[in-house]
Amino acid sequence: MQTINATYPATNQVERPVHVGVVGSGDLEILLAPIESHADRPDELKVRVRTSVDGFDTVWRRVLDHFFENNRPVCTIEINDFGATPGMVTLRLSQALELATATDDDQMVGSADGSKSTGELPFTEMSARQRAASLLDSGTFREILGPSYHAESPHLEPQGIVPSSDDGCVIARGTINGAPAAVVGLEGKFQGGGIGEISGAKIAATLERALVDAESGHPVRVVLLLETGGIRLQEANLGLLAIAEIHAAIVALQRHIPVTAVISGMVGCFGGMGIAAGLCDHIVMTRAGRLALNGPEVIETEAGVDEFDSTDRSLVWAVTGGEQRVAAGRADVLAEDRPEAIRKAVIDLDTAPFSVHRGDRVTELAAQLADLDPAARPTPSELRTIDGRTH
Amino acid sequence: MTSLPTNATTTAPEFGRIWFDLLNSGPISEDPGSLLTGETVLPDGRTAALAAVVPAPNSPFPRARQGEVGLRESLSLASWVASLDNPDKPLVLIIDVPSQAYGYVEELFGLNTTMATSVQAIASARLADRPVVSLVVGKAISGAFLSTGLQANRIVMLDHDGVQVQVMGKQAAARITRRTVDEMEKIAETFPATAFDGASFTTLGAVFETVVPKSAGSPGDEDSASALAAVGRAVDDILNSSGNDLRCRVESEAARTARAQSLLVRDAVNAQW
Repeated sequence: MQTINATYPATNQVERPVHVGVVGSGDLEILLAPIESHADRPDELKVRVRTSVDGFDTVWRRVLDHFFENNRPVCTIEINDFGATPGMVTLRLSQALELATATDDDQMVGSADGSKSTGELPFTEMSARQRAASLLDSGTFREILGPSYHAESPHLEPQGIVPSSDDGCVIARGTINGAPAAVVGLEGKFQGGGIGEISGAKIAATLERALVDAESGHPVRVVLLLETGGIRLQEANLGLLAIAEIHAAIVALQRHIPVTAVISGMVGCFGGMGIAAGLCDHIVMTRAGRLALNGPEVIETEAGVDEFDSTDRSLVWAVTGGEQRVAAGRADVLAEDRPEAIRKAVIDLDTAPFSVHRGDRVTELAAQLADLDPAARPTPSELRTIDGRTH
Repeated sequence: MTSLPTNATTTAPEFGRIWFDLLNSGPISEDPGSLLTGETVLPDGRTAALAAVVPAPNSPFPRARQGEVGLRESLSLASWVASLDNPDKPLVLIIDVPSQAYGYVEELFGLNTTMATSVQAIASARLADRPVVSLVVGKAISGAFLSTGLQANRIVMLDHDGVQVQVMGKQAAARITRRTVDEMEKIAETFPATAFDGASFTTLGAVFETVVPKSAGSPGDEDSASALAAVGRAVDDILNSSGNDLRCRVESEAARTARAQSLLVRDAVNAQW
């Protein structure tokens, strides 16, 4: 990665801090923050770019020089880039500036959600911030440790990887159907949604805090939007420990109120976070969502293509996809890939504490397993009709 | 069905079985899912339940024959832990698990679901105030460690060359992060979280105590006594502490350095809640 700094003369005050974009393939994240004017020195605009692609400083300077020739906001701009084209950079800068200088209330909501309007986007194509906001009652979204807090991973930049200002994890407070809620959204586009120290701690902290509230008689509904390949390999055992703490917190909180996992795709939910989902009292999936422990590519690598052909997409979804998981009783609700459909599915879920959790259903699962002959390589449809199933 | 590659290169001692046999003082009960269960006596005379997941070379699940934690292993462990009576009796989990089982039938059935049952069982035992101690004697890798040992109140770790704590094998991790194994090892010198050895893991602050055995592969009475003494101190520490959560892992002195953000994030979430 490479860091580029630039300073420009500036004249126009901006109204508010803004965050747009995602540190994901072909995209970038922009954080814009107003600077107070000082009478004793001229106003300026400071730009810092961290880019995953080395050797493009002249292109960056040309794009920035050109853009700030006509736009002169008094602010700092931080750009975390993951290989965006110059056109994309200019588009994101324009969006950021438009939001920063807008004055009406609608624009304020837009800035909090990361864009002006999500329109008719499928749930899977929305950013983590947009997905979290779409589950909450309109106007109740409030982000905790948002981008301006700069809770970015301290472990990535020293390893040459551009970090993200929210570490790919959004915590949103608000209400769902009038009841207090916290939605944690993982951004699958940032490092595959991998769990690092910060993103893992954000999830664990939310669950742990919800437990404190539940114990004092004010239960908060926690919904986890899980788009993650599992542990972020660059943070390795820090992610492992964080996931153990997430597991512990889910089990503890569910003695008071169910935790919901939503697995919509496109990344899916794997590794230790697949176990986390397996602990949740409610799992909502879309057809595009996948839930498993080991990803198909890892199985193929470890056990050979005869064991699992990861390029066979129909096999991958037949085994791990939302439709199969719900049909086989490994997930609960299949929802359409639309924000209103996911929100309705979440609202319809039972919020009274369960006496038997998914992770307590050992006898039922053991009975199913006893009826399964691993040598016969059972098919996905055979699993759906296996004995011992109560779903 | 297709023929499955077997890992014929496994020559490391079966630390899990060796240390289970060393510490076990009760009748051995071997579950078909390669779960050993028994009892051990701590230095203060208290009896603790004892378990280890070990290799089962004849398992019908080919991907779980080398000690990998698979469908049967996770369900057996969950079932046994949930069935324990006398909630005051400590639980000691001996950990030597090379990985989770990588296979088609595992994912078809839902290994994430069965592993959640052992996590749920061990976490529930801890929340019911049963003291739970993991004794890491060999490999403690990724999902296998998460589902067998990481819900314990305290982790005691042997210090020897056969101990490994990581989230993925070296070759696979190198491939996915597009680095060479040499580069990975160099990075591990600066980032202990990415190293494989037990000492590096210990710097992250989650290990209660480390025990250096005289012989990890053929331990004797002295090794047994020092391991049980450490487990006993861990149980005492659990009984003398107020909580039954995992907070000591983020609040330990080592964690305040190596995982400083883990505590800062929790404080900030509380402040902004």
